Amino acid sequence: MTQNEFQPTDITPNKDGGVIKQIIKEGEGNDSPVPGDKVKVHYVGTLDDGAETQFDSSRDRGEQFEFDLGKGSVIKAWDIGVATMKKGEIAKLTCKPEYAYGATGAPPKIPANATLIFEVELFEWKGEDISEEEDGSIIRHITTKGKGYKNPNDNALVKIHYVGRYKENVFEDREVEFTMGEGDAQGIVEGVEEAAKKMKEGEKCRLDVKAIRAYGSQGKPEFNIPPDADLHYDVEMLHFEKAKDSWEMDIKEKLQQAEVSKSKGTKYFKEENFKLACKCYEKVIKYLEFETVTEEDDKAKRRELMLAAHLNVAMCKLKTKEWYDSKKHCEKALEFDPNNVKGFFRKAQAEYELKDWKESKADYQKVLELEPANKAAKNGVLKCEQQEKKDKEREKKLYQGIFSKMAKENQAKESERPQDGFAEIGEWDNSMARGMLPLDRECEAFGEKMPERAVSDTCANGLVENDKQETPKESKPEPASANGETESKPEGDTPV
Amino acid sequence: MNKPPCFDNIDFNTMDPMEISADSERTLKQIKECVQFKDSKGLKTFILEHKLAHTNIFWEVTSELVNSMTHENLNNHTYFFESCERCLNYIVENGNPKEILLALLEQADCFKDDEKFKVILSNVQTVLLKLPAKRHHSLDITMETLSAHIEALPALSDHDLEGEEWKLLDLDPEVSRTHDVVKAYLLFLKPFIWEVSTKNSETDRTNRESQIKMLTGYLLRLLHHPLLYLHMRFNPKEEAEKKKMYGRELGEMLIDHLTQLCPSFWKLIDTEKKKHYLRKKGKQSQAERKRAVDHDDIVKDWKKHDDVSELSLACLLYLVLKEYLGIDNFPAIFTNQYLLQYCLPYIKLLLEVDHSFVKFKGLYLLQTLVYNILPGSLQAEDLEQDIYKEVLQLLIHIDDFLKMKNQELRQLCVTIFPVYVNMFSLAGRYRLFEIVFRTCHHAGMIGYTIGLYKGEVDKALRQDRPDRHYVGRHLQNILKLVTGIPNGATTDLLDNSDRIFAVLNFLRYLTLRDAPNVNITGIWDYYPVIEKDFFGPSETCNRVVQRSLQA
Repeated sequence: MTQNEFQPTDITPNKDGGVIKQIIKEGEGNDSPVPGDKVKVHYVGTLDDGAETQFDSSRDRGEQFEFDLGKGSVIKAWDIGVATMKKGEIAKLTCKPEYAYGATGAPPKIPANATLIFEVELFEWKGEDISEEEDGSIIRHITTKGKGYKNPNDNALVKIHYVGRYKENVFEDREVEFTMGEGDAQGIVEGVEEAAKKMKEGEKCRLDVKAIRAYGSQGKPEFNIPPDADLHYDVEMLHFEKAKDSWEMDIKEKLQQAEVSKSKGTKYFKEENFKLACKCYEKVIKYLEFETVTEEDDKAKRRELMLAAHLNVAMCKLKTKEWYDSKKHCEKALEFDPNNVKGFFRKAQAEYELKDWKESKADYQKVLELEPANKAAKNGVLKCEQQEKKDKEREKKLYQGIFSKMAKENQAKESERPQDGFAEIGEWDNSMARGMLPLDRECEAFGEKMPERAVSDTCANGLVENDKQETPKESKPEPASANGETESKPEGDTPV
Repeated sequence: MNKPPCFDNIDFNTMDPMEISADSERTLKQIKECVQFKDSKGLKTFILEHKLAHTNIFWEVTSELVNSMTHENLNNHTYFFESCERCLNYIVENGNPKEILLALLEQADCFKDDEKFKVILSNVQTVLLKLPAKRHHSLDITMETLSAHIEALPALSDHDLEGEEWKLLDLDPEVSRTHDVVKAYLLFLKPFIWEVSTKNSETDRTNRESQIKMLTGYLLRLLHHPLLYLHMRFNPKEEAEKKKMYGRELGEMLIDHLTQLCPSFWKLIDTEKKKHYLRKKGKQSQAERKRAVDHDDIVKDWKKHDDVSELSLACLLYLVLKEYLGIDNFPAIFTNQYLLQYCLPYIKLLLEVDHSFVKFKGLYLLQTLVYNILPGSLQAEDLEQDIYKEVLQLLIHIDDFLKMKNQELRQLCVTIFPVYVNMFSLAGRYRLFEIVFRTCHHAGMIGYTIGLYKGEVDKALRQDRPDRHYVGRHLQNILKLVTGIPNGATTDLLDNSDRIFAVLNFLRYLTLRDAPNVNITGIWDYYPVIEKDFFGPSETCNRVVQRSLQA
């Protein structure tokens, strides 16, 4: 191929000579990257100052440069120029200041009104990863660019049309309206909602959504989607109406909005949609977190809402097994009310799961200080003690291992012994159960579900059995009240 | 070079092991006595002249010697200190490197004596360089121990220096101590950085990635503590002849090291940024915690140098983008706007630290980036990214700065504020003004902002068709926000005077500029409301004050 074939061409949309491209080495194929793609290049930048002063070079650094195309992160000339290149192509881009750093320049290297010359080599590109974790779980390919700058914000009312595909089969094709942040309530998968947040009006795109951002390990039988299935969607943003930003609201409005979010959260909580409920409660916090309130009435209201929100988030997090976050929110709640029983109780629960037996126990004890009759807390303390003991046992065993001879002897003895199920419990003593409620009553007190029983009078553990013998009255709850209690949500487990 | 020790006077082959042991014990006792009585001559006789060959007591001798090489001895018993130094050199030269390394590190665990620390640094360096190439773990342990000394350096106090006073900063003993120790630490690192340097053509960087990562981590940690709290500004044009401040000197050394380790600072920062993001999101951290539970001790050890604080990154961005240190390792292809947006979260962090040198770094970086952006190039929609509003809040809450009584910081804020607002389109500016009026309670700041808004209205009125954000409904909205008298007639006029005067000035301008029969701004439609809500209460206030003065 001769040099003559590669004439310098003006590649600006309005042909103003702002970016002149000359191919130095032709690339392969016909594909070029599209806006949003992550591209990898090598480049050498020089000033058009007669001396061709080099101001930057990725080659000198020995590392390819990676950037998002068409996002305005790099100078305009590049967003235009690289989008015309093919894989493996090397091109020279001559960029007028209007397409580079303009009148301000970029001190200290690029003076004002400088024309820049780049030699760029394009290596590869991949679709735009729009997942928050950047783990490749939501890849977007924009097929039609949207209008303007706006994206829907949280709480915006959004209308989209989408077609969902699993392999070749279309499983969903619908137009749907939803509140941003609550798409789950309309059956919209996380991947699509996440993408909608980043779309502009009129935009159309294709999405590759990994299972974790769609139907996960459960799959979706009604759509014939097996577990762990990656899906494809075509989404069009039809219209959206932005919600008022919190800074646009005064405190009264914020309190009102917080109240709305709270009741929405409670609704979702009742539907056992804990993730969504949590989001709503978190909104309450976001509205009021940094608000300084002057009026006494509002102050009390804010405090009450913040306390409830933190407590409820803590509970949602317990439900979704995010123990650490749950604990954090309990701590926040306790800042608002240092003697909050639920705060301590939930904190203790989270700590138990985090295996901080000591802290958990201390918090359960705090509950007991405030509410001496709280059976669940009493049980909690015992559970912690039990675990601490187990730990000690484990430690003991570990040390025993050091004296291998002794350990071997012990092993021999242990294997001879019949398995009685007590080995796990450690030094469990039935006398400790004195004065305790049977398990079913304890569960009721804090709203945990009773494990299903195969035989009606078999107790869940030896502890209650023993208790039954000692305090027969307590162990037999009135049938009517028992029924009634299992149906209504007990206090410890409902949103505040 | 590794010379085999010369054993002139003892023939171990013919000696009974018991005898050797007894002989060692005796020698050790004698050495200890010499150390105790600071007997330089004796010390040199036993170790250097007799060419001490009892390797079994090297560990203890090392401990004894290092323990005597203190600041006090250097000042008051210089000759003894030097003797110890020479003896230690002999031990380091002739001992088993691994053993001597541990013996030295053992002495590094108290954070009091910097002289001792420096002695340890230079000897550890010698020992490590003697160890074979595969010493990653030794270097790792060493870094862990030595960086603990740096971490234990006390936080530098904020002297709140005004005007030219910062030039006196290096006289602060805390600062000169920090400089002394950190400089020794950086010099210590030099050969290990060279081993994996991009400038070293003999190195195989791909195989030594763990060393690169580890060293990078420790260097970045230095940026947060203690470098962030030092003065690092330097103007090559004005101050070319002058001696550089301690902070600057360290900054330059550190960046020089870093450039040898990382070809692209951008990639370095971006990778760390993502890690932080994930950690904040808590997704990764749950997995990490699980791992931590599973392999308790292992993970903890490796985590340490992996944990780079965001303030370290902020300090790096400051050094690169404001001080232009290591600028060649930063791509010159990003738009100014993108860089600003990228740095804002870090600027926010810097501004939130309650230390004037740190706040200055944040403001200088912000100033540099904001000045590179042409007025009107950002859209109102860009404000949807909360960070723009958050940094604005920090800028306008001068009250907090005032608490520190640092006039310079305050002035810098006031200089940056209008440029910051002007980066946006007219609609964007209007929204920023609105945010200020809604959220700021500082009368001076509001007064100043009213002046800026007035300027925009004036510019708008010069156009044939004024922008809608500066007339009519929008103007009324702003007037409503600024003319309110919060506590009615009981308002303290003096506290609010800056605001009230600015409002009066603005109203005067509007009424003169826009005649009632033209009424292009719509001010005359709104006038009755102003009379009722603003003039009324202010007059009452005034009368109350007058009456109380008369009484």
